[in-house]
Amino acid sequence: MTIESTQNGPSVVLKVIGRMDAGNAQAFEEACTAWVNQGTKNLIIDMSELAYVSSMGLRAFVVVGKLLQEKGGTLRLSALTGLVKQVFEITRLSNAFPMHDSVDAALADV
Amino acid sequence: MPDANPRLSVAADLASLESATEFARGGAAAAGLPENCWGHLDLVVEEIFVNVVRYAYSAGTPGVVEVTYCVPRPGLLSVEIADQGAEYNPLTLREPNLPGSLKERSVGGLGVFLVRQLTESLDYRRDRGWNRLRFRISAESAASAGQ
Repeated sequence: MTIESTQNGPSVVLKVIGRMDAGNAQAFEEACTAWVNQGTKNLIIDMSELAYVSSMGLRAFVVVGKLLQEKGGTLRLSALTGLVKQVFEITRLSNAFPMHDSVDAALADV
Repeated sequence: MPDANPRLSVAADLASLESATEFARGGAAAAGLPENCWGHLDLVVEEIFVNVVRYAYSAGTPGVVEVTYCVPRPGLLSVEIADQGAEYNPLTLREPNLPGSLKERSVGGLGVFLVRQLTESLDYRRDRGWNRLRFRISAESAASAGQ
């Protein structure tokens, strides 16, 4: 898994590429937390190239989402596809986060 | 399962997860499961394997995980993941609440739920000191997952 971060006005877009599993979900959580601790309130995750997520990854999304919520911010998810989209739907986490078809749509929502 | 079935024995360690998923993929290939099943298979193996790594053995005690598979018929794969840790039947877990509000969501607790949703069947037995969790996955179960 690689994570590319881009600052875009008041938002930070993190593009997550590859597979998020028990071995690296913590790295994703830490990358997000670092931005939140710097004062970022709007995190957008570009999931267009995320091919796999397990429950440890889902846990990281919930942890970061709750942390941002506490600080008055929002975690937005964008461009989910295939298995990742299905896993978010099965666990109904697709209802727990603002979901967008594209990063541009998520940015427009901020 | 008879001894003739392919078998992998690895340390109950996160570093062995990739070997376990790769081994199970060999079963997917043998069963002729379509590629859209492979992600589901990886997920189910990971969830069960990680539970064993985290909970089966006392901290600092090395343990093993055994993975075996068989192909009851083309298009159907049966995988068993076994450990010699404390007796634990994940089928006794209650279904998690899945509220739509992030505030009300629990952190974690989705692993066994996903396993149930993504498999055709799931059964547990305690057998002479072993926890044996067996699941079946097929093209049909992958297509209907979560419904």
